[in-house]
Amino acid sequence: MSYSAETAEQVSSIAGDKYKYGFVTDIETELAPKGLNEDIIRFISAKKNEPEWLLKWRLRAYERWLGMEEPSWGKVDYPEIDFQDAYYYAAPKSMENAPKSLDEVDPELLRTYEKLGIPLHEQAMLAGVAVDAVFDSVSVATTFRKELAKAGVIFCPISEAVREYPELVQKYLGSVVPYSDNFYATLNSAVFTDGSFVYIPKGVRCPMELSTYFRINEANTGQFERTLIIADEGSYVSYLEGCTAPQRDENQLHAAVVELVLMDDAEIKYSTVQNWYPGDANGKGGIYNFVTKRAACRGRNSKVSWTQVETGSAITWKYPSCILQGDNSVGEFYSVAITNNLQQADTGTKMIHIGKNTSSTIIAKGISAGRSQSTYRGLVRMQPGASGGRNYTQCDSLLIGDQCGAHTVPYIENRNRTATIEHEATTAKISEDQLFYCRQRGLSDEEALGMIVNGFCKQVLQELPMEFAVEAQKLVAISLEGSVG
Amino acid sequence: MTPETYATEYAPTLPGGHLPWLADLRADAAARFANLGLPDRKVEAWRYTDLKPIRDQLFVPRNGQTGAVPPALLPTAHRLVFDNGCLMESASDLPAGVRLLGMAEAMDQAPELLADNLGRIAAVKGLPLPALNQAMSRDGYLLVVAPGVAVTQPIEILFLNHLSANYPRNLILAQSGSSVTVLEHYLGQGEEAYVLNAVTEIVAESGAWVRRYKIQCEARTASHIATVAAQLAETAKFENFDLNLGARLARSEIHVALQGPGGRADLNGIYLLRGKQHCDNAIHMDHVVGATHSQQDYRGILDDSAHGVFQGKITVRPDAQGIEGHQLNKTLLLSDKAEIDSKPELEILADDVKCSHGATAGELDETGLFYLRTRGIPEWEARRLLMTAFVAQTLDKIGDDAVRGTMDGLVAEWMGS
Repeated sequence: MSYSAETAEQVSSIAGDKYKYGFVTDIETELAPKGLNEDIIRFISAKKNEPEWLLKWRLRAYERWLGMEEPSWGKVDYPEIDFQDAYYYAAPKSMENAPKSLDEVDPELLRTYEKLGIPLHEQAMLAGVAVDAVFDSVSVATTFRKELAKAGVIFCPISEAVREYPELVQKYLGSVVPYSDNFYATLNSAVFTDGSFVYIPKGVRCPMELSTYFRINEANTGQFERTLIIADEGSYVSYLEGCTAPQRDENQLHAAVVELVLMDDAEIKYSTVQNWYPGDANGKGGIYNFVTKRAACRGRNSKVSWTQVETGSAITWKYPSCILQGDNSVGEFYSVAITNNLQQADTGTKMIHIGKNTSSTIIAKGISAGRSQSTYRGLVRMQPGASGGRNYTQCDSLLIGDQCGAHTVPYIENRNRTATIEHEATTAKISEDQLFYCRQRGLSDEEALGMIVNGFCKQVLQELPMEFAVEAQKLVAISLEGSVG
Repeated sequence: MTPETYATEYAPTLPGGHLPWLADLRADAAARFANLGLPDRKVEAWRYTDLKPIRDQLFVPRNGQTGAVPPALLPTAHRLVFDNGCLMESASDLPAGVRLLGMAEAMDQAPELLADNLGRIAAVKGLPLPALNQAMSRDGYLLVVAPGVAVTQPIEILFLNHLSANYPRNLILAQSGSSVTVLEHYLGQGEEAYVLNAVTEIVAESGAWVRRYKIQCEARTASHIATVAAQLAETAKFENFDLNLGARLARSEIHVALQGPGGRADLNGIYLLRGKQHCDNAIHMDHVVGATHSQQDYRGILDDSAHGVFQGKITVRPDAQGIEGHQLNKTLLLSDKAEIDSKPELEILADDVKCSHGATAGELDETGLFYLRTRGIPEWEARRLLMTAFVAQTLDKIGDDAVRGTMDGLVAEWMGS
């Protein structure tokens, strides 16, 4: 059957123009001087009116970063990044005097979010979701704050939390991902600009979904957001994260850090639909997405669940991890990574079992098309004290076309007799039998492919909150549109 | 030993000094090793195995007389015996079409064959320990099977080791359509913490069938580092089985290149460890061309503070379509201090593939144990039955009955002690 050759051809014909978020918002922007040095860090810190301790922390991180080497163990290939050739702070001029309400926000910014389908007006359709909208280096608006405050939930930009809730921020910032953690996390610690801060008090079930939408707009900038979520005893929150960027020929850097802290009986559900600009069909442009995400399950019976749908970015380097410290704590990782054209994704998770009877589940699905490379890299470690620990891992890769690659690199380390680890992985191309069957039932090639791929991803997609699941399914379809002839 | 003293003092003492190409090969290897150095744990392939404790022992070759030579494991076999890496007993009554020589003998008797084949396989060229072996080796075995010859009886190679460092260098050349079974038996004697660094190169020409089995019973104080590099032409078959019982530190590295369509490689192994034993099985299965097939099944039982490692990688090169590659690693932990690190890796650059890997690690199945005990079987016996059943599935993959019987006996002995 000529399926493979045709598929490859068709997939490669999907150019960047399928990316419908590639527009640029034309607004006046205030930029820090180009480059990275101590003065820039002081500039950012001053812009955010930060206390002295945070500036010192940033400077310590910067000093450490200068002596660090960029990690090279990932299966990603890109030209050397010139860290001096970028702006580390970019904010719409209109945000200079922080608007007090949505009405004061520059309408051009609001229109941007409207175009992206993100409701910033509280009466909007998806009223069940509170949104923090981050535009380049600043948070533009955070909705439903009053409503959330009634329940005792704090949801605000992290720069504001630094000023309003310094004890909480000082206590937890860097407690999960220390400033010295790794090259990109350390860079982030030095120059982070905005991101979301969430605190769910004891016994509170957050009354609505929380969401942060990250938008890179300005050229030659990097986005370095930092998110910190603290779920106190017996609390629950579902947090969603989305992101897009304009279509440009230059690569832009996105190096975020996300820290989650969970006390006894707390639960966090963290979902990501990552749709940064992936670059065009020839691999020109796109975002370099180097992200450190980690959850510390400090309390007993705590549970964290990472769900990610990775369709964008030229390069993804990301390993959302769980430190299962509290007895009976649970970590989950559900991931779909789709790469097309010349995209590269090296992603996976780490499950570090420390407490007794901790359990973790990893379901990772990789789909490679075009000339892309997709890697699952994961670590499951049972420490000597993790008696009764359990892990189940399943990672499957699907190959569409003969020019792409799919790789699996799991590390499995068991130091406890009573802990059980099970790992399974498969790699195969789309089954000709399944395609034939679907076509025989009257489905078009494209429908058949969509159905098979959606079935392949179903285990992960069904973990997403409803609003995101819809978007994710569409994304899967778009990514593979026209890939059969 | 320094690179300077190597060239002036050590190299001239090696056999085959009359062959200029061999001197070059050794000098190249010595230079390569000097350049690469001993791998440390920052090198991904050595992430779980630390060579630092044996660093100084690696470079002090010394000859000495061994004790009594034990009887052959396989009564019907043709046998070579090496004492500390040097040939001690030759085989007699070899069937027609089979040459089985000590490597030092072969340097006199079959230099052209060696010139064409020794140290040629890419996988052993670039790695530091095989380079060190190439530079230092005095002896080893050369086995050549002529086209179309089927050797019915297995060939047994006994390596008796007891002193300092030694470097057997072996080469199996199975010419087209031939078939042969080789059992390498590494047996430690005495208490000295010696180091063995062996290399076996295997060339299987089209349609050849090579079965290589290894029984590793080195002294419990010793280090055993063995590298196997096999190269398979079209429709060639390679079956390998490693039984790891001995050594304080063992590393078994196997590189297979499937270079012709229809080639097939089956790599299986068992590691049974106690005390502070460390055993690392590292495999690289390289599907260079399409329509090739590979399978791996490694199982281990770890007691006390033993440390098991499995690193298996399957590579499917671009355009190598129609591949099947499977990999399985299972480990039982019997003690709270035992540790297993497993890294089954897939690197797939073609799309028409069926590849999978699986890994499990945990303790004996409680339900099975309970069931057996309700049937009146005492706990110790129930445990032994379950452990035996656990490894039996891998032992079943041994194609040669005599070898299978020998391995069964050794496994049962381990279980019983």
